[in-house]
Amino acid sequence: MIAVRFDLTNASARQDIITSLQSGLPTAFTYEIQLIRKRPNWFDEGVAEARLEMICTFNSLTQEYLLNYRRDRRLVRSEVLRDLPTLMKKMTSISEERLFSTGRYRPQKLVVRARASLTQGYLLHVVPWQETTSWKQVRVRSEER
Amino acid sequence: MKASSLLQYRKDPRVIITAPLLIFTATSLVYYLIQQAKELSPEALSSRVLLFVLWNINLILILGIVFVLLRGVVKLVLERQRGILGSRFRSKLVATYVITSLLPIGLLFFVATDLLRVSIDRWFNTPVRALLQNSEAIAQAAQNRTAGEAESAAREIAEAVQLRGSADLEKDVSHVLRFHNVDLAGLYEKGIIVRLSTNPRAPIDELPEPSTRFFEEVLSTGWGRKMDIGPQGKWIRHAVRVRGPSGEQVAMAGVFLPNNISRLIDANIIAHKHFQQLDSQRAALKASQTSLFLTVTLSILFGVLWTSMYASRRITGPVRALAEGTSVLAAGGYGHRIQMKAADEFGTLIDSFNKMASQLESQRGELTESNTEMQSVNRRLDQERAYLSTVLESVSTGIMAFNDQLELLSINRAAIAMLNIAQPPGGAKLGGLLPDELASLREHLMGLKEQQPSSRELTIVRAGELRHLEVSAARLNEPGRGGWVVAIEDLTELVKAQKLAAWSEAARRIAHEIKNPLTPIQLSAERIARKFRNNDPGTAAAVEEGCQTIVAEVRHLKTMVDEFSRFARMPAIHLRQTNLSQIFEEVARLYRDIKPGVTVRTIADPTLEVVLDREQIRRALVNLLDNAIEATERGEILLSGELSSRGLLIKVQDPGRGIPETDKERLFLPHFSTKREGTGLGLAIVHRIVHDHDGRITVYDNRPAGTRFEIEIPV
Repeated sequence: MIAVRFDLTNASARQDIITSLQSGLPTAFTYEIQLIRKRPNWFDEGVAEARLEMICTFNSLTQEYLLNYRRDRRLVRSEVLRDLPTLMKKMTSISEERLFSTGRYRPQKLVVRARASLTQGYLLHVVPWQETTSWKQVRVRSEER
Repeated sequence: MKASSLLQYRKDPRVIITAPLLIFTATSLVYYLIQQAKELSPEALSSRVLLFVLWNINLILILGIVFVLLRGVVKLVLERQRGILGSRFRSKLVATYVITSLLPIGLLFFVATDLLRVSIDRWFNTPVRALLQNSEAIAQAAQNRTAGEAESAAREIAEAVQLRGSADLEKDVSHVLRFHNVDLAGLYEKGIIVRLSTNPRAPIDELPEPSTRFFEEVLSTGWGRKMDIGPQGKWIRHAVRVRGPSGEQVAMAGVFLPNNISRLIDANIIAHKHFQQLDSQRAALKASQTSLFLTVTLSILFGVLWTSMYASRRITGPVRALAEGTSVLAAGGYGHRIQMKAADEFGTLIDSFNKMASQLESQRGELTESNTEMQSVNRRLDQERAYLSTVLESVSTGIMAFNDQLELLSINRAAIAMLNIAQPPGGAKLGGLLPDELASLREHLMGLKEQQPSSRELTIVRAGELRHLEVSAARLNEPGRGGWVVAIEDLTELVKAQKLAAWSEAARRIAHEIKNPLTPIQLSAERIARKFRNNDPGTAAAVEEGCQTIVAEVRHLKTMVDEFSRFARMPAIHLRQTNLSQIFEEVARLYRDIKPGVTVRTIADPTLEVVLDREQIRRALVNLLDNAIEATERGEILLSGELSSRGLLIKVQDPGRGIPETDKERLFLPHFSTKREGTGLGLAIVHRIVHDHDGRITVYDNRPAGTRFEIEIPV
């Protein structure tokens, strides 16, 4: 099995995200994670992929943040948080212990890559445009227990 | 699209009904959406679904516009490349439509959307933001203060339990409830109430028990706060962890805020949160509004473009049909008609074109028929001309034609041969055409002035040979083209033949006339000889009578010979100015009272002076009067003279016995006579004198009886 862990940096420092979170509107961070097999001089082969969504909704009356954790569009868990730093840490730190299986492939041939989609923008005030980070990838490595 | 199909398309009632219906439906839908948009919440307005739908509609509209535009442009380019008539006009029309619609619509869109965005930005830059922030701060402060009271109460319970355990728990909880102004105070252990006191006025029934998770959080973090909203108000509970003698417990205190207070607090908080939501959705709001506006704009643009293409096609349809029709007409397609119907000015134009084409076709048909007929006439004329030319070339008579300026129009081969001239060019002047040898002919032709036909005999010398020509001229009376046709008959051979015949006749007559006296002479000589041989006593008388007879006959012979000598020695004429009346009187005087019952009368203008040979004419008139006296038993012989259009006309009329028709032909031949004693040279001499004056003499029957001689002499 393959465990995936990464952090999204600098997101908590953005005022537009903080404002969006505290406005009570559902604010989502979406992570796309792909497991691919590198093939020299040829196209990479996709082995598996996962979509993780951190959707936060702030209840201004109770001063609570409801954080829904969805995987592949299914709700996995929810939790209520009361402070923003904890919320931001929860939303930007991903740690999935059993996200993918290596299957019939050798782990050293596999690469995991991920990117995050944050807020939505509008090109020329009209064309919807999703703010997305670039792909970041690491080679799968074995971990001693 | 062809004109006929376009016409059908335009006249199709389904299109006429459907097009306005579609426009009405689209307008209603847009109006409905705008009305509905007023009721939509900011979340709905900025929802991704709405934006997605709007963006897709816009995308479809943009693609539609691009398609319509490209299709129209490509069609126009192809039409222009193929040289289809009306394509340039249609290109200009479409370009004008597109530019005049794009500019205001684009300008309106950019200005309106910019104004809209500025207005949206302005909403969030007003003092409302600070006001709502302060309101929420106040509400949060009030709520925090209440929560702080609950926290103080919970901490006092916790401290009491830690100090004294659960011995005086009831007293401690009641004390806290009473002195901390809270509505709920109690102690929980493992999620179960150990002791709980409440304010009887607070609606404790609607307060749910805290969840196990809440207690776990309190135990793990040391504190916890919970707000619950019930039908009558809001509960704010604060819990702290208690580590007492019997283990970890949770001390909890709560304050109930009735609706009249909690709703005010919540309303302030919610108002600010809504404002914050709107603010965070500002971009989405702008995008949705702009997209909505863009949808309307693109719809209008699409409609305008489509309409401009359609309208240009409708307008240029008749123009194209007219241009094509004109081109076909110019190429000779007179049967072409424009089938398109239109109710506007184009309709009038098309009708006029069709009428013009009909008239042209009709005129063309008439012209073709006329041309065919003219070609036929020309062919016939050519044939006739060729025939006439062949005839003219074939006849032995020389034919020449001149115009009034005496320029040669045509001349046939026989005339060239007769005149012994070279082939003259067309239009040659008569003066240069005839050489000096033909001066008499030239002068005669140049003197043609009368409208009446004229005829004259001319004697010319060509190539050293004497030729007798009869020249007859007739006036050409073609409208706008006068002139003369001259026929030249070569009478040389005829004259020779006539002369030969005349001399034969004269010889026969002379022989006869000589023979006649010879017989009495012979008989007289034989009688004298017989008398003398027989010694007849009547010899002397017979000699006397015979000699007398012989002398008389010889004298007659001598007279006859003298007459012939005179005829042969006719002197040349000497023309001079002469008074005609005097000649008439001199001649008439000779014959007055010469025969009883016969009178001679003359009629002539005493002042009339003419140019002629006085003696010759006098001699001719004497011969004519001599014959008239001889032929007339009783009556008046009339001698008259006058000037006519043909010259001097002299008439000698007698009421005598007349001349038989059979004798008229030989009347002027030498030695032809109907008289017993005549020599037959009188009229021949007259004819010779008249001929020497270039005139002619004609004999007619006089009415009621007798003979009339007419002498025409040119003056």
